[in-house]
Amino acid sequence: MYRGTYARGLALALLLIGGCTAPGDKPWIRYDAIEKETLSLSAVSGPQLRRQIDEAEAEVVLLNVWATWCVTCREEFPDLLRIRKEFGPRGVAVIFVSGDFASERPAVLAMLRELGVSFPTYIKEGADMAFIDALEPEWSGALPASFVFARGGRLLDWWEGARTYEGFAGPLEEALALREGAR
Amino acid sequence: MKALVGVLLLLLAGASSSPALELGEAPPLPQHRMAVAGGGESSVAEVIGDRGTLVLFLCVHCPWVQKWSDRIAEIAQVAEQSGIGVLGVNSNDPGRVKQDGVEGMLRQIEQHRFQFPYAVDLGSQLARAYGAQRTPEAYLFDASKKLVYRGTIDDNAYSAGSVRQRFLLDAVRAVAAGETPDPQQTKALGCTMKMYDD
Repeated sequence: MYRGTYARGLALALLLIGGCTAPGDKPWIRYDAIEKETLSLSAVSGPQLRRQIDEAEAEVVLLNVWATWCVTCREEFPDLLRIRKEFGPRGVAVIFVSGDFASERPAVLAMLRELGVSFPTYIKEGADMAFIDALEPEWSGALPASFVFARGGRLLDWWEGARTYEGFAGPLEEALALREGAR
Repeated sequence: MKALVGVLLLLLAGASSSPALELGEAPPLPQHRMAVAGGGESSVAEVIGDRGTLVLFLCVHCPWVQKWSDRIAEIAQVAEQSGIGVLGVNSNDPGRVKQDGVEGMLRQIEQHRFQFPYAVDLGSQLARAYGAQRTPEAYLFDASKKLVYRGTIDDNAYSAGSVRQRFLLDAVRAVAAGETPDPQQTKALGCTMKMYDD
């Protein structure tokens, strides 16, 4: 069991580091797949992240960039976990990316454990400008920031600052409705 | 109907942030007087230099500001020695983040040897006028009071020794020489401003 979990975690980490998927592999952003995983923290650059979002199998991807020192990030985290639990089965993948400095990695993991996170998460690596521009060039870089992507990686909505459950649920319902309308 | 909603969603994508001051614009609210940590008052108009003006949106609690503060102090010194006036501004509401009160600002001034006036933007009026959204963020105006640089300090907040691009220092030197900075806009991760309520 432990070996299997480790192997899956390692595969996910390598997938991110490599920044590409092998033929036939399932993209990493899939609620039912990652639900079986344990907490992990993989380094990811903006372009790598963007590529994975573009290739995600989820109907909608909600990406949240946070940091351990950010009070408002921590405040919205429980609502984001509720969003993940309730919207995950409907095809929404919620992805957390820490914007902390690499040296804060132990603190990031400790806080994720404290918040009850038990699935793979990510920590930014590489230049800030490349990371910001890969997600949304209009983003000032302020944290927290959240981004809603449609399947295929089209950015539907984004915002800076914290929101409550309703503030996340509204844009996700709209994104899902948009997906239904396209069928 | 659903298609219409979709089009509207696309049009609204990215419209959730307030507009920032555009390159070429003059400093807004130049006469807006603010209390300075440590005593007295100041305004952008009061610090305008012969060669230009640098307005720095800072705060106390933000780790990025903390990491950059020594470099900010050095760049500010270069700016002032080059005829560019400098004003630091804290637009955060200490009711939201206690560390961002005047006592914290005074400790920050002492610890990092800020030589420039560091003002308290009560009501976050200046930040709103600039469309500033995060800390730290620099706005550099040239001698003709046109915004010629907006953005971050350099490309490595964490380690001064690993910096490759000294965005703000290079921009200050360019403005002091009467040239246009390149690049004129940069970004970095930072803290959302914790503004006073409207």
